[in-house]
Order: sequence, then C-alpha cells, then structure tokens
Amino acid sequence: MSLSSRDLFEILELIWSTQLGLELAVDGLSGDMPMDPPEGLMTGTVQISGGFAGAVHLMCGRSVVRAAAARMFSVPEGDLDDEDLRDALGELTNMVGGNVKTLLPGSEFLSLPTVIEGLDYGVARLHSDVVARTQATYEGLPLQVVLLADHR
Amino acid sequence: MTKKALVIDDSRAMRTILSGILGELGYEVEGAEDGGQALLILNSGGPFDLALVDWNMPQMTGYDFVCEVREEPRFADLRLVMVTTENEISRMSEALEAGADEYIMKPFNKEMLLEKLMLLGIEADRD
Repeated sequence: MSLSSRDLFEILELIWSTQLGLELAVDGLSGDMPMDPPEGLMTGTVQISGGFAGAVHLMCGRSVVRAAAARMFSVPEGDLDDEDLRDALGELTNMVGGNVKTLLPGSEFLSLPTVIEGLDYGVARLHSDVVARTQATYEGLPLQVVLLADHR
Repeated sequence: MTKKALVIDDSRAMRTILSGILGELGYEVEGAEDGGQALLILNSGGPFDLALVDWNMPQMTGYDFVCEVREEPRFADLRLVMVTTENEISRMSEALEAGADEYIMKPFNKEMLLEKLMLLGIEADRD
C-alpha cells in the first residue's frame, strides 16, 4: 500500500476545485495542525474493505463545511441547517473515500458515509494505524484527511 | 418537447447539484433518494429520457437499480448514467454490462456532465 500525503491532498484539492469551485491551500502536508475549531468539529468517515481494509476521515470545522454546503445547495450560508451540513460533509467524504479507494489495489467496497460532530473530541479506530494524512486550509481554516489501515 | 431526467442519489446535496446542472441544460428534473423510490417514480410518472444514478446508496444500490430497470422492456429508451466515485475498470464494466449507458466520476462539473450527455446524443432542447 503506497499512498502519500501528496496523493491525499491532490484528491482533496480536486474535489474542492471541481465540485465546489473553491480553492484550497497546502498547509504542511503532514497534518499536524490542531483540529479544534471553536464553532465545532465535523468528521465524515467512510470504511473501505476488501484486499485493503481501513477507513478515511475527512475532518473540518463547521464553517468550512458551511462554505462547501452553500456551494452544493446553491444557497446563502445562512439558509443552511445542521442536516444540510451533515449531508454535504457526508457526500464530500464519499468522494474523498471513493477516490482514495481507487488508489488502493485490492480494495473492493466503500461504505456509506457517517458524520459526527461536536466540541473537543477525537476519533479512534481500533486495531488500525494511520498510514497517510494530509492537511489543507480553506480561507485559513484547516481541513484534514486521514487514511487508516486495519491490522491484518 | 422538454426532456425529463430523474436524479437518484441519497445525498440531497448531490441531487441539488445534478438537478441544478440539468435544469440549466433545459431538463425537467425529479429526484429520488434511492433506487426503490426511483422505481416508484418511473412506474408512476411520465416517460423519462435520462436517469443519473449514484452507485453507493442505501436500500437499493445504483447497480441493482440499473439491473431492475433493464429487465423492463418499457424502460428500454431510458438512458442510464452512473454517477460514482468508483472509477475502477471492473466496476465500470460491471455497470455497462448491466445496462448503464455511460458513467461519470465524482467530482465533476457542468462541462464534464454535458460532454457525457453529448456522447449519448441526449442534450436537452435549449431555448
């Protein structure tokens, strides 16, 4: 399995530019910026199974999700509700996961996305390791993609 | 006559994006959140010219939807375009063999979708 931080960033950038028409900036590909936005953190997750088994997390603050959702629903940010944000992040996570899966030989199935949100929390997956991580910013606010591989 | 399209995706955001693009292209658009609901719409509504079908949906996947539709001779003229994050050749071959006419990868933009519709020769009439 070889997937780099650069690969993850390129996937994220492609989705943001092509689907949303928004520009992301590279912010140190290693992804070590604290993800604790004061307005709340949202995390979308999809699981990959088959020859490769693991998960992809897309993490960003509510304001980043709100900007993306406004593009997706073609409405002003103020017209969006919580369900709109969850739906939008779920779909973006699905796109990230699907494009990641394509680069992982042997991976066969992609789960439906799940979304969690809150303040001051972390996401852990038992019996897995982080194998790639990337970080970008949208208007100075961080987004992070994490790829985890399950132990075999 | 205005062409009719059915957008099938469990994400409301993606249905909104696809409906918006198709609307701009001159289609009359309806949405369904899974394959089962789409079958109900197809069975009860007037004839549709095009269905854009997400692959990864709850209840009934896009692939299963394509298989069901292609078993019905009365939907033979319905053009089916898979909209998917899965770009593996095997998956695409599977969908095309099941009866999908084309596929488009997420992420996409209006120009990419229009290109696929032009390949199928089903651009909507535009004023």
